[in-house]
Formats: sequence, C-alpha cells, structure tokens
Amino acid sequence: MASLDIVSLSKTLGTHAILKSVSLNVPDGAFMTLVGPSGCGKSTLLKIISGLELQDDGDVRIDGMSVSHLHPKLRDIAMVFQSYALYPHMTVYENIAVPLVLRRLALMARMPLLGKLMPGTAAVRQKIDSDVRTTADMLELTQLLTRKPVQLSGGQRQRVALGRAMVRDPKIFLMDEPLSNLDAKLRVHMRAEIARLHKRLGATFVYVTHDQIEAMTMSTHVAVMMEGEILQVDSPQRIYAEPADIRVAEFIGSPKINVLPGRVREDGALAVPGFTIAGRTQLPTGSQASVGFRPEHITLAQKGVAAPSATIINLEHTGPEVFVHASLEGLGAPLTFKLEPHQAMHLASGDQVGLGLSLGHAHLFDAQGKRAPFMQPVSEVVAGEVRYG
Amino acid sequence: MSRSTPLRPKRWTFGRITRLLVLSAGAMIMLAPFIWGFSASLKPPAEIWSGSILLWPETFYGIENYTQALTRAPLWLFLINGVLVCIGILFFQVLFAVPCAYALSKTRFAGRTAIFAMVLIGLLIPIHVTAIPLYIAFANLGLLNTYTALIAPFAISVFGIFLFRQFFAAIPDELIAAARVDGFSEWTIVWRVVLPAAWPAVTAFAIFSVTSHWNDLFWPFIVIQSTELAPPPLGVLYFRRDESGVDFGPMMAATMIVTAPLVVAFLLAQRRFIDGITLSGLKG
Repeated sequence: MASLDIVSLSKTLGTHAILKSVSLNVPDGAFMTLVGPSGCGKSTLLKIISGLELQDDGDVRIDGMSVSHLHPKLRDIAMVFQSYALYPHMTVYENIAVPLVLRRLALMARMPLLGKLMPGTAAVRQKIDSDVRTTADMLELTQLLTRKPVQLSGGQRQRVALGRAMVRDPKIFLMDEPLSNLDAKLRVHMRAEIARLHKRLGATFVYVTHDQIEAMTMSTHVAVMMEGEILQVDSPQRIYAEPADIRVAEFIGSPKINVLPGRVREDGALAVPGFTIAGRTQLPTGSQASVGFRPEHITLAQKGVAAPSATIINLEHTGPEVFVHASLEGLGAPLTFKLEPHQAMHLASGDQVGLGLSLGHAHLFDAQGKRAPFMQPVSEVVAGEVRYG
Repeated sequence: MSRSTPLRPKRWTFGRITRLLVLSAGAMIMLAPFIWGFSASLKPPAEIWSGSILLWPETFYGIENYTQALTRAPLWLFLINGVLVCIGILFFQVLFAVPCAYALSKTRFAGRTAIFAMVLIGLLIPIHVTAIPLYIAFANLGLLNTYTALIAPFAISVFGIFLFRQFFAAIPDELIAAARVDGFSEWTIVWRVVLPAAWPAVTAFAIFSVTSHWNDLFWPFIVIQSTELAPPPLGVLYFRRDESGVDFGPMMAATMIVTAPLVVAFLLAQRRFIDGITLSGLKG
C-alpha cells in the first residue's frame, strides 16, 4: 500500500513528444485509471512508473521517495500485461512462485542440488509454497496449478497473471490493458473481479485502458490522457458530468456528446447553426465557443412549441432505448439523441422533428476547448429561438 | 462432401505425374551413391570392379567387410571422437549465440544495427576462406592435432546468432518486461525465460550443427594427424592408406556405420528435422 506521485514527467522519442510534463497524484489505495485513445502516451507513462522505460525528465515517487533511479525489481511494483506474459515453459504453480523464488532465495539457494544444502532454504521454500497456494485459492486456480499456460483459457491465464502480481504483495499494481484480449462476456466478468480484488487487497492500482466503460466502472479516479497530456483527473462521475475539456467530453460517453459550434453575441447569447441559446457566459464577445449536449439531454420538443427542427436520418433500436440520428440544418455532423421506445414508435427516417434541448445540462467550452461556466437559465422560447431568460 | 475436400484421393493428372517423375529422378540421383556404397559394402573385392551393376552381391561378403571395418581401424574411437566434437561445438555455439542473439533482438544499444550487419556478412564467408589463417594461428599456438583445434573454430556460429535472433524477435517484449519486473536479471532472462521459450529454434539449430560437423571432413583433414583424434569421416579415409591400397569393401562398410547414427536420428526425429528446416527457412 502506497501513494504514487508523478512529477512533471517528459519523454520524447525522436522528435515526437510522447509525454509533455505529466504530473499525477495517486492516493494510497486508489484505483486510478489512465484512459485515452491509442498513442496518447498512457502505456509509456505506465512503463516509466514500472521502470521498464526511462523518462527524459521528471520524477516518479512512491510514498514520497524517488524511485526514478531504481531497477523495476527494486521498485516493489507488480505489473499485469495485455498478453498476460506468462512463462510458457512453466506450470501455473511455477509462474506464480517465480517472483517469490527470485526475491526470497539467494542465487546459490536456487540451484537445483546445491540449494538443498543451504541452511534455511527449506523453511523459505515452505513459506513460498503456502503463499502460492493462498493466492491460487483466492483466484480459484488451485485445480489448475500443474497446467501449462497453453492449456488454459484466456480468462484463466488472466487470473494466473493476476496471481503472479498479487503473490508478493507489492506496493502498487500496474495493469496495461489487461482485459483487451478477452471476449466481451468474459471482459464484463473480469471487470467485476478486478474491481472486487482491488477492494479486497486495498492496494493502489494504476490501470491503463482505452475502453471508457472499464474506466468508468472500475475506478475510484480517472485520468483522461490525450496527446501526451493529462486533461483531467477526477472521479468517474465528475469526468462524465463536468468534463474540463471538450476532448474529455467527446472521449467519454457513448454515443458521443453532440457538439454545436457557436459564436458569442454582444448580449452574451450564443449563436449556433439554426438558432440561438441566450444566457450569460463570461466569454469575450465575438469569440468562438462550442456547446455540448449528451444524447440523453436531447429529446423531442412538445407539440406547438417553437423549437429547432431536425430531419431524422435513421433510428437504432437497442431494446431498452432508441438512438435517433438526425441532421440539423447548418451543422455538418448529425446529432444523436436517446429516446424511450414508446416515444420513437411513430417516427421514421425523413421525418421532421422539433428538438427539446435540456439546457440545464449544456456544456459550454471556450475557443481553446476549456470548460466555461454557463449561468443556469430560465428558458424561454421565442419563434425559432431557444432563449435563456 | 464438397469437391475440394483434400481427403478425397487426387486424380492422376498429367501435372501430378510429371511432378512425381521429376521428384523421383531427383531422389534417385541423391540416393544412388548411398545405395552403391551400401551394395559395395556387401560385396567381395573382385565383384566391386566386375563392371556389372548388380545391387545384391553374388557372394555375400558383408560379414567379412563389416568385421574388417570394425577391427582394422579403431572405428569406435572415431565415433566417440565425432560425438565429443559435435557436442563440444554445439555446447559452445549455444553458449555464445544465445546471449548474442538476445542482445541483438531485445536490447537497445548504439551500433546494434552495425553489429547485426556484420553477423549477416559473416554468414557469407565460408570456412575455406579462413582455413589458412586459422591453421597458422593454431600452429603458432601449438594447438594443432588437438580437440581444441577441432572445436574452437566453430564455437561461434554466425548462423546460430542469426537463427536465434530471428526467433527471439518473435518473442513478445511483454514477456521480457514481465521477467524484469519479476526480478530476473538480464543473464537469467536469457537462460531461464528466453531459451526455454525458444526451444524449437535450439532443436533446429542443433540438427544443422550436428549434421554438418559430424559429416565434416575438410577441417579435421587439415588439423588432425593422429588416428586417435580423428572424427568419423577422417577415420574412414584411413582405409585408403592401407598397405593393401584402396580397399573399398571395408571402407564402404565403415562409411555405412559412420552414417548410421545420423540416419537413425533422422528416422526417429523426422518431424523435428522437417520442422527445423521450415522454421529456419534456410538450408544449412
């Protein structure tokens, strides 16, 4: 159990900056997920924490102590890899025992014959055996201890990889996309299992994924990374509800948030294609801004009420909900919004519908894509315009 | 059953017959000397040069030939020499090639590409080019006519380095990373993680190494004078230097005995041989 501090880490490969002065604090016992599209630097960051790669600049601290100069094995971290990276020629038992044997037995004691003669070896071996069996028990691997990795299913290999990490009770667990090689059903199962394991061990986890569902469901903290920078660190709920950057808003949430580009008018209202959203912003007059609506915050306008009008392109019935893709005049990309099945019953592609925007949930971003406050409105609709009072 | 099922016997098309004929002719050309040698090993001296091509002898002289082969020269000694030399060469080749290949495939250091290029160039240089400088060097060191002279020139195999490097490159980096985090040192990663994972490559390489050095005549012929140190092919030559001139019957019998271990090994591990050649994509 330990806290982890990353202090202005930089890494450049050739001319390409992979990490641009990244700082991050992972509190003791947190489940921190680094999430971002591929190539955003999250795996590199994890490798630098583990010591498998070296940073150009900056520091990694565990419990306040710098470990930047330490070899991976001395950092007291354990790592779980996407391909599981089990030793193919060793049994499950040996795979789990390896980190203990290498740490607790001196080189001489590990030798096949000589080792038996070394004093104290037997006691250490016994302790290793009981630790391996306890871990295997916890992960329900006891029946599989004599098998080789090739004889295991993906989920079982994943559990062995977890066991090998857990067995020596490291300060920090690092996981690099450990679920990406599993099929969808098993992934859901292992998601819950890893989250449960985290609670049970109470250890600090740093988990890398490109899958926002994994990030949202398992973590206590989420760090969204893009282009070598951490854009926001927050709880999963706040990442979703209050994205600090338009890129975070667009990355988290499926289907994607709808973004309408606009311009700030003199009276502080925001002109977007086809209509105007009145309200007080603190953005300079004439500047570019965008406003985002999540699919669940757009619905159909009530009959007889003036509202922005859109043409339905197609409807996706998923069962419990219907996703509607509609085009809004003057807007390049289609809008996506979510309806209950009964609301969509009489809709068909090509229909004209009025959009009811839940303005209280609008996300406003300035020209640089940073979140800007949008004063809570009392909405008022004036012929074709949605107006804030 | 679909028409393309491979289980269905193929038709004797013109193309197929041609292919089989060409392959059979090739096989016959390859096998002919061996068959002739086997047949000669069963014939009395007079019959070998009789001019008629008979595969089976009119008078069976096999027992005499093979007894002479085993008694006239210390054939057992030649075989033991062959085993010692082949094992020695293979041991050192693996000992040196595996760490080199690991460094070339899984670590980053300045000059790595240049060194690998040198390994590739090394593949192009046959032993015949370096034979004379090596001979002079061994002569100056006073090491001619020793096991060292037989083993040392082959202890570092660029082919081995190349073959292992190609195979190690396919081992996932994550496995090496996991080993580093688990606490293996680089040296133990090589022997405890990479080598066991690359066992098929080692087998393939061992096959190439052992066949070529068991059958090698050129180098032992240069550096070995005493009969006690001769590996099998050189030993067979001693039958020629006999007081009775070239005595083909016992000589062929000795050749058969010397070839037998490899043939037996091939028959026992046919699949491995073929896998090895497929794996390396090269013929030694």
